[in-house]
Amino acid sequence: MKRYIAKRLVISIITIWALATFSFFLLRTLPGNPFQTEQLLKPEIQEKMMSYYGLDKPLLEQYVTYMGNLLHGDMGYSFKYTNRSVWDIIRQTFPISADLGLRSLAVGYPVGLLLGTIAARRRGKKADYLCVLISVLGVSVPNFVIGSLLQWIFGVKTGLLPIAQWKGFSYTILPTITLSIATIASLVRTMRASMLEVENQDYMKTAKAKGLGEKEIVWRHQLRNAMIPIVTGLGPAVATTLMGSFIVEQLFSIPGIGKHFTESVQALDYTMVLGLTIFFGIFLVAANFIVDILYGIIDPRIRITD
Amino acid sequence: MRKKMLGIVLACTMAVSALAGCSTYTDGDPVTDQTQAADSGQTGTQASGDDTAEAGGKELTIGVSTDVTSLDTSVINDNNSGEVLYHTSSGLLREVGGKVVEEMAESYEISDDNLTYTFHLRDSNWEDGEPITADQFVYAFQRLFDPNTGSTEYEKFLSIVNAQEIVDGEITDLDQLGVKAEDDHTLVITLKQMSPTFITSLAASDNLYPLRKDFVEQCGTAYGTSDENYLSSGPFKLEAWNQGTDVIYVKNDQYFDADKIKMDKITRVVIEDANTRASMFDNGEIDANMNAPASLKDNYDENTLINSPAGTTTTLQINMDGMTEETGKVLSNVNFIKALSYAIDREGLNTALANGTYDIGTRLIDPATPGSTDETSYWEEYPDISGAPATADPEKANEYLNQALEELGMTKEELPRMTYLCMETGQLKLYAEAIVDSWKSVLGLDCFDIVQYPVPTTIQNMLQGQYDIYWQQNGDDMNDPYMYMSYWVKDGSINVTGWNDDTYTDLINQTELTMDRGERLALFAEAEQYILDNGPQIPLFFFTNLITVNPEFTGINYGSNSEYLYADTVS
Repeated sequence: MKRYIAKRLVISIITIWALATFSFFLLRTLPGNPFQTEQLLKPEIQEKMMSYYGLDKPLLEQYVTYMGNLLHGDMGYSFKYTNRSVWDIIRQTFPISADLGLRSLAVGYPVGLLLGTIAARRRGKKADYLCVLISVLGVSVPNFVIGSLLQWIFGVKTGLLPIAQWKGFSYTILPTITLSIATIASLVRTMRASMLEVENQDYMKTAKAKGLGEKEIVWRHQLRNAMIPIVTGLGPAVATTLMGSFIVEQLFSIPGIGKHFTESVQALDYTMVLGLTIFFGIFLVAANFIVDILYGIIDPRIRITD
Repeated sequence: MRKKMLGIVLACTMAVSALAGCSTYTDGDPVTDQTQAADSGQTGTQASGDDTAEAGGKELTIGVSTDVTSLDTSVINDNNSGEVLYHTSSGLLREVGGKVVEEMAESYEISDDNLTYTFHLRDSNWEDGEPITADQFVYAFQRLFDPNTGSTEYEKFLSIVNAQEIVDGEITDLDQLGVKAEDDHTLVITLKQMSPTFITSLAASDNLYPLRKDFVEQCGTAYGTSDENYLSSGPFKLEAWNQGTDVIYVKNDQYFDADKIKMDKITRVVIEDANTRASMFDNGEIDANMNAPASLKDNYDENTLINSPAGTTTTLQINMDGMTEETGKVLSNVNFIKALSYAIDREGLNTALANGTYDIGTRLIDPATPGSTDETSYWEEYPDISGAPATADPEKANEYLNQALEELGMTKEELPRMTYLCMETGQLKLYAEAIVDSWKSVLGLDCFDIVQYPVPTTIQNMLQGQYDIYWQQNGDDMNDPYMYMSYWVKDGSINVTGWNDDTYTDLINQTELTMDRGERLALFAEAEQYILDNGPQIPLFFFTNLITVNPEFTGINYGSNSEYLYADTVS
């Protein structure tokens, strides 16, 4: 196990390094510079800014400087948000997105799994069709439509909940629901399909043949095995959900990290794009790592071997 | 096994809910917590006027689309940061509703040769009670030009002695700048050449507010990056800047003119989504929406709605050199440009895409530009300047086209394919398609390709001449046409139009040789008609900014930026 973890750690570091390097050079192949904003700066002023920030130096030299700073945990300063360090911005915005993400997962996973299980158990009955309908709607209706609808019903029409912002528990309800609907929708489908697939397995027949009760079979054999594909997707799902949603955050005016992913690329905020990419990369790698270990617990067949 | 499984599930749920339990709410100190609690309780239709009465002071909440990027006066170059500094800082002069008024400078004199400006400062204090002195202004000027600051907005002040040399790094001793403090209350600025726009530029600038050297140096690079790293010198004190969420101002008792400031607290809330912002206004959660969507214009009555010029001239810029030699040949033909211009239905576009909120552009200088007297505007003094029709004129357009084709010796089918370049922002794609479509239907030309890129890429392409037609949105100085008009002089650094005209350049240069506004405007009028007749700009619109204000409040408007300095409640 220790050797496995060590091996994974080395691979993870190489992955992050490759990600950083690749992104660094790829980003610089884009035409334009961070000072070409909508307030058109004259070329001579752009040049001065390029040299002020050291962007006129040879690319390789900039790369060495950047990687050197990165080793010391310094991600540099944002160009758009003048003199604010990238790490500061991540530190301020990520916890908010993570908070919202966790809330939506805490709602989405139990509900999604429950509905998926119900749909599979009541296959072909009304409950099944209802669950499938919910999931089809949830997947196909974009979340800004759902979010706007919720805002209109609970905010504008009835005045029960605030329309936007992030200032207390009542403010979190609508965005949490909006964000969890996609999770619920995809989980219902995956869980239902997975449960049905497991149902036809030999060990299920054996379990039935040896006279186990319905509850026992579902709990001990079907559910456990049906969870494997869910757990596989858990790592990336958690990572992406915690990283915020541009649309939901914008709609509900939540100062999360989501908008920076889009905004920084559009503004060619080099250091910000790189910082976010590396941060997200580390997060994703870590999430997958944890899932790998979880596998062993859920399914004894997948034991980690050196 | 079953227990273990349950245990895992429970553990996961608990971990998740525990984490979710940690509050990340964007509350500030306890004081704001209380008011926010009050706010959140008031989600119904209750007007916020009642709310403020309870708190014992006048409060205003305004909704905006974009957060501040920095509070460092030397480096900012965006409207939002400028807006917050405008309300929390005191410069030498101030622009209120487009007019220049004295602020920290009680009075000023200009020498006979128009090169020396002497400002007499009044007594006023920083928020912590320290006096505001002339050397703090000197430091602000020096820091703006210092190449080690990373500032971009010094261009309008390069007429100051040694400013250019400092910017270029030729002079490293900042004390050689032509801005000197004679004593605590006297500031002398020396120019190396006459600059008729110096006073208006100074008043409109958000980059020259006084700076406390000790404080700035103590903060280092962090200066202006958070509320703690900023000191207010103006009408309001910056109480909090919750990044991405809001800016909270409270009245500054140290301000010299504090009697004129009526609001005790103003909260500037960032709501990025336009529809969310409009809903919050409708619900009474914000008292003013500083950027309302044009599509919702008809939902509001005239007591609520204010439509003001946004200070942007929008044109189609023609690359007369062309992206290729072939297109250059066609686009350097003035009649061809005229044909394109006359085929566009500006009124129709405005109605269809902006709900009729924009001002139609048949000329180039902004309608908000003041005239030579206090009562008249530039447009009123020169009403006849025109380079394009408001609605499409198919007959004339085709006349121009035929003339052009004759001069070029080409048929419509022989015209090369041309590139229409625009940014990937807002509705620019819709405008592009509508315009290209009108060229097709009116002129029968089907040779335009629309190309869209992100902002930096588009600008890069434009600056390198990689376009034939470019959707150009240029911010204007609303006080004076010089900045906009000087872009198009011969070899101007953003004049990538291939139009290098000596007559035009002479006219623009002459405007810098007289301080008389009437004389200057006459020259601008001549230059404007000249560039419309011969130049590379097809006028389209002057953008406007739509704001909605709860009728219980007054004094909220949009000048060259959002202004709510003298906001007040009606009762």
